[in-house]
Amino acid sequence: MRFARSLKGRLAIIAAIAIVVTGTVVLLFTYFMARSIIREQVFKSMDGVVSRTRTEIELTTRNISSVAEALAGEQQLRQDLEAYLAAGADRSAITAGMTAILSAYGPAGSAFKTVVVTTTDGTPVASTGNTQGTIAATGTDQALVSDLKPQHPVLAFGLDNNNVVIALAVPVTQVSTDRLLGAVIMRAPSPDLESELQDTSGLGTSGKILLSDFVSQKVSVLSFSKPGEKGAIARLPLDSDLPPVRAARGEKGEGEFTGLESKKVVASYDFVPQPVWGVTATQDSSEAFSPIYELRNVSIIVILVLFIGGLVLAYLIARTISRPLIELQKGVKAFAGGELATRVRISDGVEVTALADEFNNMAERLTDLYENLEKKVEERTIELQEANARLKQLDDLKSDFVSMASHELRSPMASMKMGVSTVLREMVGPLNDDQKTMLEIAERNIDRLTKLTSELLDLTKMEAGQLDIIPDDVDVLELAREVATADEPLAQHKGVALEVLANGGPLVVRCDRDRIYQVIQNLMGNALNFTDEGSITLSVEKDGESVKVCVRDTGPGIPFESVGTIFDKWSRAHSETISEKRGTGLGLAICKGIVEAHRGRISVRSEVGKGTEFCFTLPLRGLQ
Amino acid sequence: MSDKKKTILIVDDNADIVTTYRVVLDRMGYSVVVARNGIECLDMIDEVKPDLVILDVLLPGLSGSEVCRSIKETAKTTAIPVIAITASVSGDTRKRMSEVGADDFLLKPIDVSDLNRVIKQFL
Repeated sequence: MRFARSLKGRLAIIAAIAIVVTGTVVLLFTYFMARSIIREQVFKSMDGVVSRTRTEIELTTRNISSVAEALAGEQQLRQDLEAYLAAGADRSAITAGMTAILSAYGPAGSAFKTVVVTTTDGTPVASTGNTQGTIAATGTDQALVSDLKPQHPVLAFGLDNNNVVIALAVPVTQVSTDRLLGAVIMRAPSPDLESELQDTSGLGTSGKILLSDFVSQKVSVLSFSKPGEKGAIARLPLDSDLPPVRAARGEKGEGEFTGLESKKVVASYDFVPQPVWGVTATQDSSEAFSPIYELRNVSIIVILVLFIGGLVLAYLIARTISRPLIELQKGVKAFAGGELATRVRISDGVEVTALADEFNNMAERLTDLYENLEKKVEERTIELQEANARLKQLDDLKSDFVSMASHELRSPMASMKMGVSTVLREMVGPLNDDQKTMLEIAERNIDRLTKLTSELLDLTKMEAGQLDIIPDDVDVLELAREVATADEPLAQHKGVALEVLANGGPLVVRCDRDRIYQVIQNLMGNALNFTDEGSITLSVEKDGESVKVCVRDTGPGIPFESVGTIFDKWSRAHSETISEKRGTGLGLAICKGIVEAHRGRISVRSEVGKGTEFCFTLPLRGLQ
Repeated sequence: MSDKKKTILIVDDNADIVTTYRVVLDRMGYSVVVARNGIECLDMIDEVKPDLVILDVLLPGLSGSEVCRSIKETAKTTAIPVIAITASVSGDTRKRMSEVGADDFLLKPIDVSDLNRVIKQFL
């Protein structure tokens, strides 16, 4: 069973089917061989019948002929017939001697039923038992005599009350010249021949034995349909190709013929030289070849059964091969589709089961790997989350620290500022120049520190997303004018022209007034800080759906490589070259944060040696 | 105090600090010369021939340590004491300046009495 279930076994079965096909071919071959042998057997059997019948005919005719020839040789008969003819058919010329001879051969003395003496045209002259009276001429007799030649008796067959009768015409010649005078026609029943013709043993139930003979330009054929039944005589034309005619013509042969009694028959035929007759044995093809037909039918059935059986078997085998493969394919598909629990159970197939087992092992390992991977991803995720949380904590700590430090720094700086400014303004007594200078430096740096502190606080809030924006309806034009007014004294002091293009009616935007002020102030502060000569232009205009504020200066410009990072915190464009103008590096970063918190954009254009322009926009619709 | 005023060279880029040094050192009786960066310092040191250099470590361009090394490696100037001023509390800067030959250090913010004491060590 194990073998039959393996692919190898199945292939063996397929090979067996191939052998079955080969068997079919062999069967067909055998069929044709057998057919040939059966045909041979049939013809051999028929030949036997023909030969037997021929022997009987020869025996019968030899007996009759010897008697007839003896009669024809009687001197008295020949003389009397000559005298009769010479006398002009005078029956008185018939002597008693001739009558006695006829009587001696007649029914009383031999097997002959009738003995008749005729002239060459068949006219009867004398007969047994009636030598004196008139004898009616018969057609048969005339036919017999018409074929007669000297030295050659003619034998014919016929039926008399369904009994086979043989008629013999023996030529009678003139004693001196051997001229043909007439004939002695003798008729005798032939029960031996009759029984022989009726004995169709070896020819089955449809067998027949036919006698054929030339009579009056035709071929006369005698046959019995069945043993014991009435015989029949048929006449066939001379040019017929049927076996009895061929036999009568002197041919010998065998074969299948159609036409005799409108049936297909198998026939064997032979010529009997003495008495120039043909013998034919026939049997219906359907009967003679019935074993062949049976064999053929059986073969066809067997082949059909083999074919159908082979097909069914092949289908079943193919199904047993393909079913486990389909199972396996389904399993693989399901697994590939993400059903990791998929396992394939195949028990009917050695190789495919092994394959399925391997698949299951593989699926097991992949599932393990996958689960491991998931576990690892989970672990890593947790680690990352923890790290993230720690970072967040640190960041919060930093923010808290900066925020707290900024607040805590304000108080001491406030008292320092207060103290220093009080002394500097000489409210507690006069100061000399050096004292003034030192206190001015102190005050300036306290202011610087205060600014840095608040910027740090803003930045921290911005980074924490806690920059407080308190929206209000603000006229940006007015706001810009305010900043410019505040910066005017410094500009005048530096000798820089300050141009403000912010005239006209109100341009109201919803924004945080203090923050936007801080931005403009910061940009203006930078411009003033870096511009030593030329001008600074502050412009405010409506630009589509936004308000655009620009601060343009004629300062040194920002080096190309610094433009990209100018809004980053701690970025200083001129940290190396113009150190005394160093800002905190936080201003622009804070400006950017404020503008973007208002959903605006800030940008810079600069050319070294020519100047810088900072612009920012605020959406007119502003904050809701 | 000797017959002639001692000269101190201040190397710093911050104007406020420079002003403060000027006022303080002038009061202490020293002559003050200012260089705004390292290059300026090295350019003028031969001509000025200071008795002491107060050098800010964080300078634009040429760094403080490079200026110090240059002073100490030049035969004419190697004897001039250099006081390094640093804002960094870490020991790295101090160590680096020590390697290039700085004679003493002062940490920002500078106490005037400390400044006085350190200068007095050399002058």
